Amino acid sequence: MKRRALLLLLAAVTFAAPAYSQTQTLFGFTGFDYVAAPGPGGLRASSPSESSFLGVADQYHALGFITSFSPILVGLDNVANEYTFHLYDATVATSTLFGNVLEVSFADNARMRAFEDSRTTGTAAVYGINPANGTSPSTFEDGTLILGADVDQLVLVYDYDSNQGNFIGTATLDEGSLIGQIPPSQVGGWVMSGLAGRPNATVPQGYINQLSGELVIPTATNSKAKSWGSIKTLYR
Amino acid sequence: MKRILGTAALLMVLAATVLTPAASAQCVTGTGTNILFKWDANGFAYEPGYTQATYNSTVGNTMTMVSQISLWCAPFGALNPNDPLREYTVVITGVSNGTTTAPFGSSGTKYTTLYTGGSFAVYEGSPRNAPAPTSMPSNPPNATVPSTYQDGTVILAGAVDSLVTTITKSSFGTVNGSFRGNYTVLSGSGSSQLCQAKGGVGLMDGLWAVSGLPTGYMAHPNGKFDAPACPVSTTPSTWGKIKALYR
Repeated sequence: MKRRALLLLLAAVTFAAPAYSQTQTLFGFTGFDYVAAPGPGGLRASSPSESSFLGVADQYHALGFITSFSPILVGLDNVANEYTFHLYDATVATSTLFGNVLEVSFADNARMRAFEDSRTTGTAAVYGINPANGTSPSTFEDGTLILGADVDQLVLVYDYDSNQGNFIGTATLDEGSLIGQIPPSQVGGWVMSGLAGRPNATVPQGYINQLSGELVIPTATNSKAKSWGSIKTLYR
Repeated sequence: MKRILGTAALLMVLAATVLTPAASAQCVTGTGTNILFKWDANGFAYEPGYTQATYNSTVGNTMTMVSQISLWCAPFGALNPNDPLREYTVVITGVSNGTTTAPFGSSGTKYTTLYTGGSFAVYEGSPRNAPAPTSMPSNPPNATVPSTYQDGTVILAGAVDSLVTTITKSSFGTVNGSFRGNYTVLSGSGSSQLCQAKGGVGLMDGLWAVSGLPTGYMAHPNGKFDAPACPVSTTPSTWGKIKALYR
């Protein structure tokens, strides 16, 4: 009788807490994106007659501020320092406008870098207008390089019907002063994603979209397939 | 009389300077419209009857989004999202108008869902009791979601309309999403700190991630509210005065 009750309890516990997967966020960010056409200083128009937005060989840039960090990273001080990021070397490989949906793939080996800069002795990051300019991206990539990643399989989709879109790519952390805090088994497998949309009164002239995004790694709650027999033996 | 007016004006300027915390750089866009607040890892949405496999929502069902704020900007820059004694949370709702599924390209699909008649409320609660984003309890609503996100003092509250979520499966196999909507501030203890305590309209938008979710959730939003637009001041005049301007 006791054993049956125990088994019933065990079954209840087992089914009440199903295995699930969640993600661990390394950091969240906000900012803006812009596109530089191939060649020196070229800037693509932000106007969505958008055959010109993200044409093949264009360089896509996303930059801004890191707004929160994972507790797995220690030694960060958001009061004393500002934390910025810059995604660059993202070269458009294919770009197709399907009706009102733009789909863009990028060549591998884009780079994301995150920086720490003192709020007292460093230079405050400023977007300015019509990037690249005197402050952008330069003030977003000064200070100490804390983390950097190789970004592959980057894809951007933008829907002009709902005026919103997203990008997503895989990131492998490979540089920076905090790289030692990342468990070796977790330097790869990160997912960098973000974007939102326009029109948007916050977007400075020359930038295209306001960004909201994050760098996350999927974590799984492990589960193992077991027979009732093997479970029962555990309690004998 | 002039001196009294001058002193009053000076006091108003001083009060504004003292009471308005300086917005940190990450809040300032340079356009005059800045971020109001943002959330990152701790943001989750759920809806009864939602089909995760096809990203389909049922007409009439209510979507609930719960989030913990990770960044405050002016005029709320003095609030500390990492305060160990209190937490700042947002609960957003919307009623589904159903999901439209449309193909694009050779193998892409987009799933668009409109939510109307929604609401939002921002809470200051103590103690910090919302679950950690890495251990969200399954199948909300449950004992802690949304209750631990909607306890405490309501700082801001209002309506959310025309909230649209767009999820895309690209031809390359990637799946991701975003959301976008407008909010209107109608009440809350902090609403008087905005340029208008009632009626301010702003944009809310962000990422709508749909992978790696805890059981029973439909999306992980990572987003922000932009500061509501301020009304442009007007001066009553007469046709005569207006005509005089052009003479």
